Amino acid sequence: MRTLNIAATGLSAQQTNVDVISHNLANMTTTGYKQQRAEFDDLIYQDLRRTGTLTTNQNNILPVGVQIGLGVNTAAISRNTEQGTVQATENPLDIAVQGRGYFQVLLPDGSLSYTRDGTFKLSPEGILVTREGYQVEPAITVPQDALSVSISPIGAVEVMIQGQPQAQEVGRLELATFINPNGLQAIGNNLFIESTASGPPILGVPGEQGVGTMLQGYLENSNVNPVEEITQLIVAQRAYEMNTKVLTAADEMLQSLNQSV
Amino acid sequence: MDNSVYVTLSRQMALFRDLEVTANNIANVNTIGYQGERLIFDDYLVDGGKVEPKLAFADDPMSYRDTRGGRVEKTGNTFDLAISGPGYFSIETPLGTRYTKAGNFQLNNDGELVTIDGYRVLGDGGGSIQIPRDARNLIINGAGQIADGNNTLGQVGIVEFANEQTLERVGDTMFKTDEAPLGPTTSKIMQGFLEQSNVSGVQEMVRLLHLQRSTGSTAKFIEVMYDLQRKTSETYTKPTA
Repeated sequence: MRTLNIAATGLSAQQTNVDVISHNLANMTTTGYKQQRAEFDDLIYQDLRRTGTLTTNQNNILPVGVQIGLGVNTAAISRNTEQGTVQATENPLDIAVQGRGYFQVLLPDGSLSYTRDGTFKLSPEGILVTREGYQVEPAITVPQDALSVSISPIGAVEVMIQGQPQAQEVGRLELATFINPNGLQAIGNNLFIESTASGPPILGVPGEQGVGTMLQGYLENSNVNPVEEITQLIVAQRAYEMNTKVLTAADEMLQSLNQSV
Repeated sequence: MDNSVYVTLSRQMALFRDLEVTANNIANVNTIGYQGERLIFDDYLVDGGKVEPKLAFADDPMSYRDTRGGRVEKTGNTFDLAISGPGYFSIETPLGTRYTKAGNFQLNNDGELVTIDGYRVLGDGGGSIQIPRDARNLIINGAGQIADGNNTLGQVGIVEFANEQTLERVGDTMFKTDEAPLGPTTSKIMQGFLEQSNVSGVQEMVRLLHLQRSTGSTAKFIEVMYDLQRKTSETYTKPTA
């Protein structure tokens, strides 16, 4: 009867696998999206005959025992934090990060969140905000009479104002890095929040000490590779099928057993 | 009592145990670093006395691990490591050192290299592996040496064993053993790759079919035996008219 449960763990694991793959494919063109991957572990083992036990009274020991595994479980869904491809948009407020680092975004409840999505806009007050209208930290205000905005690779935001020959710096964007970016908690809307696993954010100047640089007029695409995802989908589908086959086989074996008694 | 039913029963029980092993292999067809399990069957001879020949009961005294390398898949992640060859990674757990083939590592919030279950990966010297937060471009070479540019940051330990079969499974794709680990000989680390499960779907499916048919035929055999016994008793207990 263990078999039925083992097959059930296999089915639910592959279901999770397909869930993750479909989430990746659905976010194939989401700016700043990072591919996810379901990772599995084998479950505990039952020792039916333990290694090293005596087999005869002549001091012969069993070199290997009988261990029956009890299936599989989903250990983690980890994120692939590799750089996505960078696409030109010509929009001066679109910023891509090349290398490590996240933009900081102030949530309405006053806490900070982090994102790789640099699709920024201006609020009616001229403050740099995300698409959802959340303010980008540190706050950058672009004056109403600014003719153009330029953002340097190191995050300095400069504006040209009519009648003034020199560009004026209105602020500097900073990037937050994490020792374990995989441990960040996704909250939707391309935003992440800090967790115990990610460690605290370390603020840095773009281009210094391993922090990435900024690229104005570009956006970072998702790093989902459709070919890879489709291949994984086929693998997951076949694995699912195999587990259902185990279920049917076990069922039929039990059936033939029941018929004979 | 007739022994034939019991001999068949021993086979029947062995088949169900084999089914469990096969089911576990199939459930782990996508588990990174998983290695398939196989049962070995043996016959257990019982002296049937002077008249009958010796009886051979089916017995499954041991299972062994298929230690062939799994297919290696490219992931491009810095901390995804695959070992080509018979080597294992050493993992520090609260219950002692464990060994694994699954190299899907992460960093924890202290910057140490850990498994997905959060256990520390041991370095060459036995300590944990610390990755500084400002590391830019980490390269891990075949021997496991971690370098950021010209700075060497440590070395991922690889161990091999004289007899891989003594490693006992403990779940979470980890193994334990009392055998002393040896240094690497032919094992090499590949960065950005993961060793997938070495379970072959086709083989397991064929096995499943075989198990299914065998159970059917042994069940049929038991049925025939009982039929014979019934008929015998019917014939000899028929009241004479």
